Amino acid sequence: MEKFDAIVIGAGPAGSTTAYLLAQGGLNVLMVERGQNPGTKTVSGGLVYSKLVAQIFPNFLEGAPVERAITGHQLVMLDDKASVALDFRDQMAGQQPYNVFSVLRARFDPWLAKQAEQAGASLVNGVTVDSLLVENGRVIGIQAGADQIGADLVVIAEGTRSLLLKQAGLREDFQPHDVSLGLKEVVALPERTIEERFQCAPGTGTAYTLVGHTCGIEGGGFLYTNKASLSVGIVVKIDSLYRNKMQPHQVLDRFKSHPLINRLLEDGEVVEYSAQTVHRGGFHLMSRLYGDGYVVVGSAARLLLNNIMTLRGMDFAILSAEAAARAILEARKGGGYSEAELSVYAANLRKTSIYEDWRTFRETYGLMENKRLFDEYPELACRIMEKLFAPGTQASPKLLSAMWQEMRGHLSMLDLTEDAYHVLRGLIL
Amino acid sequence: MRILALIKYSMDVAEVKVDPATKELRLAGVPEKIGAIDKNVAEAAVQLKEANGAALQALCLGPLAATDSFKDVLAMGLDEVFLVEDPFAGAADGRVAACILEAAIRKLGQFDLILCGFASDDGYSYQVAPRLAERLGLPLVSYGRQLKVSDGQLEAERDLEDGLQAVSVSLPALASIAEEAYPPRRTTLMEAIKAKKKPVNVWHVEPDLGLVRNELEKLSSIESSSQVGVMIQRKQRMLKTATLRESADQLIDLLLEEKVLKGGSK
Amino acid sequence: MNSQAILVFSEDADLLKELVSGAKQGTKAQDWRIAAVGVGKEASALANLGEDVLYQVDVDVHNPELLTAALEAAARKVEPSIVLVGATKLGLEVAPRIAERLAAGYAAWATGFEVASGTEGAKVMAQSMIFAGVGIATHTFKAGPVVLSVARGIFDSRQVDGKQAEVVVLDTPLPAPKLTIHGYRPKAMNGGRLAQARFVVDVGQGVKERDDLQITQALANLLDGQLSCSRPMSADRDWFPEWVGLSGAKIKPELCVTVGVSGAVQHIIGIRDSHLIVAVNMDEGAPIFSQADYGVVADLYEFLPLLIERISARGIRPAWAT
Ligand SMILES: Cc1cc2nc3c(=O)[nH]c(=O)nc-3n(C[C@H](O)[C@H](O)[C@H](O)COP(=O)(O)OP(=O)(O)OC[C@H]3O[C@@H](n4cnc5c(N)ncnc54)[C@H](O)[C@@H]3O)c2cc1C
Ligand SMILES: Cc1cc2nc3c(=O)[nH]c(=O)nc-3n(C[C@H](O)[C@H](O)[C@H](O)COP(=O)(O)OP(=O)(O)OC[C@H]3O[C@@H](n4cnc5c(N)ncnc54)[C@H](O)[C@@H]3O)c2cc1C
Ligand SMILES: Nc1ncnc2c1ncn2[C@@H]1O[C@H](COP(=O)(O)O)[C@@H](O)[C@H]1O
Repeated sequence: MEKFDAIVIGAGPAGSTTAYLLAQGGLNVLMVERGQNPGTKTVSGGLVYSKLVAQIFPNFLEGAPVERAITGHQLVMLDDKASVALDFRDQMAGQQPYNVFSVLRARFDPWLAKQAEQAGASLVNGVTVDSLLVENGRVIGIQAGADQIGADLVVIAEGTRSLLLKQAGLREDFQPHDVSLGLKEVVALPERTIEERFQCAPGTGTAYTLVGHTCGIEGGGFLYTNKASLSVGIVVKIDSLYRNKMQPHQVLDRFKSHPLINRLLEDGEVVEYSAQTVHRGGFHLMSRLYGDGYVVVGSAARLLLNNIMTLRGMDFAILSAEAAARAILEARKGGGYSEAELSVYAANLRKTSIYEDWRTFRETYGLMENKRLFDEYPELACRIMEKLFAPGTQASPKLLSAMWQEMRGHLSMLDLTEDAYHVLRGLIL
Repeated sequence: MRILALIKYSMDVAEVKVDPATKELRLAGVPEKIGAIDKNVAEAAVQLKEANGAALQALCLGPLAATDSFKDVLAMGLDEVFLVEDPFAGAADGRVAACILEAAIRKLGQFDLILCGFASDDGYSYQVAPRLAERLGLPLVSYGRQLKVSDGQLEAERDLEDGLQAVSVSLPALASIAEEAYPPRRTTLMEAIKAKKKPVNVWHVEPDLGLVRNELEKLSSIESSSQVGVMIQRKQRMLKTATLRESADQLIDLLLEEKVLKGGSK
Repeated sequence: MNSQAILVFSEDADLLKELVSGAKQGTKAQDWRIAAVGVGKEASALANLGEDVLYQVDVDVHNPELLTAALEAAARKVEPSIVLVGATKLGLEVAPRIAERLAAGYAAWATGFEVASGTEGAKVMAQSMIFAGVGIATHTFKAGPVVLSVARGIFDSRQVDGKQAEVVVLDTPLPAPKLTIHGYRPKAMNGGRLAQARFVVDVGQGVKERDDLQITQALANLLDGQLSCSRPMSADRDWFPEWVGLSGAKIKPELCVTVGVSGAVQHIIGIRDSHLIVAVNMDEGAPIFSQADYGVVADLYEFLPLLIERISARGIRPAWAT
């Protein structure tokens, strides 16, 4: 049997980063990707939080094919016709070194994979790994078609569905309420039009996070500026789709039809459409990270942060890959890849900012369950603003009384207080 | 037996868009890969190798960026690739390209059979095979299918407009492969891993091929060129009605208005 | 080289006529000599296309090497500035060979040309299809002869004038060909009916089973039309003898209804001369819709039966029906 020091399954951010670091560490690495090219099967809204990523890939800032540096963030609540926005422009974010970039995976993933190849890893595209080879509870290689390839260590970076792990009995079944569906379109527009429409300088751009107008389905939407296109999409809860008997693309179509979004997308041509499941993520949901002869990295281990404000999967994937690679190289010095030796991975992970961020955002998990947030509040916010800014024949009310008038009959004060508390705990404090 | 396959790193012309305002062709960022026809060429070469035993080399005139794209054909069973870096980035006259390919072939030595595509995916100019036949003084079987080699002869069918012509030539010879004549095989992981160890050699026209860039430039018969996109304005009207039956009626009404249909009542 | 002559060749008589007519149009006011090459014993019948001289050669028209040699011999006599060759599979092999032998410039798939007389002789400018028909290039050639291959339908075949050309028999001995021809098997073809059809139902891989062609055939029959198809329907599935597109037939009906065709550029090139195009496709994002006059986003299995039913019920006929 042909054998490698390490086989990496999947050339997404998690896989390519692990392959890159292991090859740098002197291992003979094979990386297998089922797409005809990296980035052809992966889905993201496309924001990369880059501070830590740039530490792992020193040439990230000069070399990586990023679309725009994101210097403006908008949090928008939508109801049927109106919207209320919170506009966040960090002066620091508008200057180098930038912290957030938009990327297109079809360009970004190949670049990451190229870093791994240049470090000496072998990449094979267009081959699907069919199963893990397991012997006496130890992963000893992979099977693809009739071919079996051995490895001292297998890195499972197969992304969110993690079928190989399930098949090998190395993970539990997912709970439907922990899974959302992400739908995304890339809409082509000329560079200049984007810069005029979003009022941004060449090379910089804006990210919109949108709540509401998702047919009452729990979730949210996003709209990010790329160089000559926009990435627009929604991430909505699957069980809620079922309950409401909605087709995902109906929800996306309706979302896109909102006047605000419609105007931003005007004259654009949809050039790409993709869909993928997204986990909630969180350390209490994290899958098993390692065992004899294998580690799991990136979203295959549900290593991501998904609250309404941000969906961070790529940087979590890359950071977890680094934590894993360090553990692997250390275990190699120790002589083996047993479960005990690989446990350093979990310890490494606990020291990363992923863990910190998870702790900070712990409180938002409940938010995703709270239907009011996606349904009633956006509408409420818009009605209040309407009362304030578009006074009719009656005297314009003060803010608080405007709120009060609107809320009566819709929500109880108790609900509101409770929700406000969670929002504050989860997102801000 | 020695077989040479000519493979081109071609643009995916389906991704070439025309700017509606300026009619310019948007070529930046159009993906490139080994053309579909040239994967047929590689498959033909591999099948001949399986039938007769042969050393299989491939030649590509193209940019250095092509290097990554050879993985597939190497996994299919080619042994080695020679990439001649194109000094004119593909803009060269067909005559100049043929001249460079000829020099590379002569440097590679005597082949029993040289295979190429009948027309490349992007150039689609049908000229490399006939030009090389002239330059190398080799017999050519154009639009070939069902290639068989025996007793120093190449037998094949030429795929013509209205029929298949059975022909033969003696080796050494040149053959161009007809459209879809050899659908490429799927490769396995093992083959892909082995392909990693196969060499991709890079040559430059100067000095590797003994050609001089300026001389090549002079060889071109084209003084200057410009290009525009072809735009055909269609109405692009989407019929949106509540039921498909209404769409059918609406379509009929529109075609009546257009005067391609007639008669009838509502 | 004589800068005032054009040599034209095609083994296809209709195409040859178009080329002679195109040669006349391209040289308009200038007093150029047009020489044609006709193959076979019957070739003198081609002496009335409007050319000044017809070179008659008696060689096997099926052997590209012999035709190259014959055309070369004619070119040595005529010393043309331009050689127009019909872009059939044969012509597309012969034309670059001739260009090599004459050290001439060459453009495949020419769509037009102009000449200007300069100090070093005629200067040729030619337009040609590039990137498989997505674009048109205009080349200005350096002084010297230029070979152009030209497809059917580029020049109209209007009769130039009724004069009888001088017929010259070319009997230069030609070298023995290296290619031996053993036989010929005709392909099953639509027999040119497609080229004439005024209504075409153009089917693609959206049609799943061979039996389902009955639905599309029913629509074609109803409006007195023909079926055509995309390449995979013929080359992969073998349901049709020929396909439409870049490498297949070109059609120009009054009405072309595509069903289950995605609209790849290579296919569009075969139908883009249709007067009206209607597209039926399930996928709203299919590129065919930007190439169509009217688009219906629908499952063809639902829509076609309805369309057929409505056409029948309303007593609709094609406009050209008598
Ligand atoms: C709509 C949407 C929006 C998102 N927006 C963002 C965002 O803005 N920012 C952000 O950071 N994250 C975002 N994410 C999350 C992010 O995309 C993922 O978390 C991230 O891609 C995880 O990286 P990964 O390397 O673990 O897995 P992936 O990127 O999924 O890569 C896995 C790779 O493995 C390959 N593979 C799978 N199975 C096999 C097999 N059996 N054999 C061979 N290869 C295999 C796949 O083809 C793929 O290339 C978004 C996700 C969605 C769905
Ligand atoms: C050098 C070169 C030359 C080529 N030359 C030609 C050529 O001459 N002619 C040619 O045709 N192709 C040619 N091709 C191939 C071409 O690129 C395309 O692959 C081909 O035309 C696709 O055929 P299609 O539209 O039938 O199939 P597909 O691309 O598979 O499209 C099928 C369509 O059917 C739709 N569909 C599926 N089910 C249904 C349903 N139930 N109801 C309605 N719609 C449905 C789908 O949405 C899809 O859009 C060439 C390619 C190359 C590289
Ligand atoms: N740059 C190139 N490098 C290698 N082979 C080529 C190149 N250009 C054309 N060919 C070969 O010639 C065939 C016909 O191309 P063309 O004559 O350009 O349409 C292709 O299918 C290839 O086999």
